[in-house]
Amino acid sequence: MQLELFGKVLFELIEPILVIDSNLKNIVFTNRAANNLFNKNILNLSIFDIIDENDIIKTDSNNQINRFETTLTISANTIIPVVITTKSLKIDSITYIIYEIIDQTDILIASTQLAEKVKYEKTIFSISTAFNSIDNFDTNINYALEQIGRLTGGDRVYLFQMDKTNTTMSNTHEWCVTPDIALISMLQNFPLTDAQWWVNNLKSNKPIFISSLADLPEDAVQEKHILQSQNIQSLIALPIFIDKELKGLIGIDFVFFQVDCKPLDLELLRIASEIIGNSLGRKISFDYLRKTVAFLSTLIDTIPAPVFFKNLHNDILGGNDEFATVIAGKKIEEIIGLNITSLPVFNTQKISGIFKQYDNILIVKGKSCYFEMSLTMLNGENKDFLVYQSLFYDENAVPEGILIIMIDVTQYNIKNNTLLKIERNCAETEKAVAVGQLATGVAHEFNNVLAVIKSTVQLMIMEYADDVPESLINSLQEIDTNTTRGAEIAKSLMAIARPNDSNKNFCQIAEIIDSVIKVIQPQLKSENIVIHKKYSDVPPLFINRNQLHQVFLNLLINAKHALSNHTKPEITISIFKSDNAVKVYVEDNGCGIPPENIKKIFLPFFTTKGASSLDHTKIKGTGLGLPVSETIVKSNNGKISVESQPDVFTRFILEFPIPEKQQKELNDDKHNV
Amino acid sequence: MINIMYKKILIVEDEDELRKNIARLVKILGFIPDEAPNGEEAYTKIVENEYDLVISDIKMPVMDGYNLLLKVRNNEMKKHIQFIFLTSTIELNDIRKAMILGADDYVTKPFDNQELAKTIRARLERAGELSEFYRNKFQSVIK
Repeated sequence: MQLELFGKVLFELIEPILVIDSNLKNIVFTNRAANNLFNKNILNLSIFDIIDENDIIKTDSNNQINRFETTLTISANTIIPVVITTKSLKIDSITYIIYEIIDQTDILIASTQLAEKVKYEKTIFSISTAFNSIDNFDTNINYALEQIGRLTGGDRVYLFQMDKTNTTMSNTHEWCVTPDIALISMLQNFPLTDAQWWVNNLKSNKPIFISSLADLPEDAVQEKHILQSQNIQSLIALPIFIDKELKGLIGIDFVFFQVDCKPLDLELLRIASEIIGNSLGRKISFDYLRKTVAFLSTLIDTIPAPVFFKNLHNDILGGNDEFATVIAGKKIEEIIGLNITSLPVFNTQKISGIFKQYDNILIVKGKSCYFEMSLTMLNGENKDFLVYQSLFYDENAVPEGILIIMIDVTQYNIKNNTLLKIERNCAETEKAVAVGQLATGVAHEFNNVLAVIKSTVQLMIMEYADDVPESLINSLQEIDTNTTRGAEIAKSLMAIARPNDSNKNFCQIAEIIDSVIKVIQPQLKSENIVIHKKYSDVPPLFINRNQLHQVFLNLLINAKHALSNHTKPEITISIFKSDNAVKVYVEDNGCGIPPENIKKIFLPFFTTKGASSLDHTKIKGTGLGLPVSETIVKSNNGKISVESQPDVFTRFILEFPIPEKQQKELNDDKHNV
Repeated sequence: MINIMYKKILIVEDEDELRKNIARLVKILGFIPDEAPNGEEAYTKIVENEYDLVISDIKMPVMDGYNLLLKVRNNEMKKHIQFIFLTSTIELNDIRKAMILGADDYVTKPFDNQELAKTIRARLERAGELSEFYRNKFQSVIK
C-alpha cells in the first residue's frame, strides 16, 4: 500500500525525474513531468540519446548525490539547459540511477539579460567616467562612439553638431565597424531644411528609430532618399540639447542588417546623448571661458598702464606685466598674494591712507571711482597717476575685490601746466594789446590836451614876460616843463603799444652804439664817466636801427643815472658772438639794483629815479624806458635781461639771434678757409 | 631879404582852444591867421581865398587832414599851397603817409611855440620862392 503511494508521489513530482538502469543505460522510469518535458515516450531510450555522454558524471555504486550542468536534447531542434542531480539506488542487485532534472532555461535567459545589462551599464559608466573631464574631448567622444557601436552591434555611430549659424549641422565625430562605410567627410554643413521631418522630431525630443526605411512616414521623403543613398537599413538617433536648445544628435546606423529596436540600445543612446550633451555644453562654456580669459589677460597685458586687482584686505590677486615691472619691479608671479603695502612704491602711510580712503568710498558707493596720486617710483622719479578703481563681485554679488588701473599723467600734467602758462601768456599778451590800444588812444587825446596847455602857457610867457612878476613866469615855465614830461610819457606809451615799425636792415650793432655814445658823450664827460669798448667782430643783425638807437640811449642814460656821485664811474660795453647769437653787455659799476627790484624793472611806470626837476633836460625816469626797450628788443627778435649786485655793478644783457642767411654765409666762409 | 609879411595862414584844427592859440601865435609872428574846424570847411575857404600856408590837424571830424591835403593837391589852382601837418600821432607810419601824400612838413603835438614858428617861417620862405616862380610862369602863360 505504502509502495504504491510512493510510486504515485514519485510520478506526480513537479520536477522531471528519470530512472536509469546503470548497466544498460536505458531509461526505465519517467514521471509525468518528464513525459511533459519531452512530450513523447522516452522509456527504454538510451540516456545518451538525450544527454551528452561526456557530461554525465559517473554515479556508481556509492550512495552519493552528484550534480552537473548539461543540456537536454528534447528534440532535434530543442536543446534546453538543465541541472541534473543524480543518486544511485540498488534494488535486487540491480543498480538504478535517479535523474532529477531542473530546467535552467528561464534562469539562463534572466542571467544573460542581466549580464547584458551589466555590460550596458559598464559601458555607460565608462563613457560617463571618460567625460568627467573635458580635456581630450575628441578622444572621449570617439571612445564613447566606439563603445556604443561595439555594444549595440551598430555599424556606424556618429555625433552631429549644429553649426554656428544654426541652419546646418556637421558630422563631427564618427566610429565605423569598417572604414569603408565612413561618411563623415560627406556630411559637413548639412542643411537642416533637407531633413525637416528629422529635425522636427529631434527638436521635440522624440527619438528616431527606423527599423526599415519602408516604415518612414510620407513627410520623410527627403530623409528616405538620403538614407537610401547611404545604404542604411536601420537607425537610431537621439537629440542633444544644451540649455533646451537642439545642438546636435547622436545616432547609430545599421548598414548590413535590419535590426529591431532594443529598449536597452535606446536607453543607452539616450544616456549617452545626455552625457555628451552635458559635456558638449561644458566644453562650449569652457572654451568660451578660456577664450575670454585669454582675451582678457591679453587685453590687460596690452594696456600700457599698470593694472592690478586686489582683495579687500589689499592682497594682490593679479595684475599685468606693466604693473609688475613699473610698480613692483618684479615678475607678476612673484607678487601675487602679497599685500600691496609690501611693495616699496606703495609703502608709505600717505599712499595706504589714500587707498584705504577710496576703498571705503568705493564699497559705500559701489561701482567705480578715480583719483590722482603722486608716487615715488623705484628709480626715485616722481610720477603722477590717475587711478581708476572699480569693485568686482563674487557670484552672490558680494564685493570680492577691487580692480585698479593706473594711468601715468606726469607728462600730461607737465604739458597741461605748460599749456596753462602759454594760455596765461596769451591772456597777458591780449591784455597787453588791449592796454596798448587803450594807451594809444589815451596818449593821443592826452597829447591834444597837453598841446593846448603848452601852447597857452608859452603864449602867456611870450606875451606877458615883461609885465608880470618873475615868480609867475617861473610857475608858467614849470607848467610848460611838466607838459613836456607828460608828452614824453604819452610818447613812450605809444612806443610800447606799437613798436611795429618794420623798417629793418642789416646793421652793425657797434655802429648804432657808437652813434648813441656820440650823442650822449657830452653828458657823460660832464660827469667824468669813462666808457670802455670791448667790441669783437660780429655779423650784421637784421634790426631796426632807429629803435635800437632808442634802446641803447635808454640803457646809457640809466647807466649815467646809476653812476651819479660815483668816484670812479665807468661804463663797459661789450659786443661778442656766442653760439648763434650776438650778445651785447652794457655794464656800469654804479649803485646796482636791489634784488627785490630786479624783477620789476621791466614793468611800466616802475622807477626809482624820483620826481622830475624844473629843468626839462634833467627829467628823471618816466618808468617807461626799460619797458619800451624790452618791447623794442623783443620786436627785433632779441632778448634783454639784467644782472646786478648792489653797489658793485649792473649789467644789461642783450642777445640777438644771427640771421639764418648770415649764419649760412659764415659757415660757407669757414669751409672756404 | 624876402618879404614875408602879410602872408595868410589857414589853421585847421577841431580843438577850439588849440586852434585859437595857434592863431594867436601866428598873429604874434606877424602873419594873418584864418581858422577852420574841419577839412571840409577848410577846403571851402582854401578855394575862396588865397593862403600861403595851411597848418592842419590829421584826425578831425567831417573830413580829415589827409583828405584835405589830397583835395588841395588835386586842385590845379591850389596845389602849390604849403602844407604843414600838426598831429599828436607820433607814429612814423602816419607821418610817412602824410609826406607821401604831399605834405611839406609836420609838427607833433604837444609842440613848442618856437618849433612851430621855425617850421612856419621855413616853409613860407621856400614858398615865397616857389610862388614867385609860379607867378612868373602864370604871367607868361596869361601873356
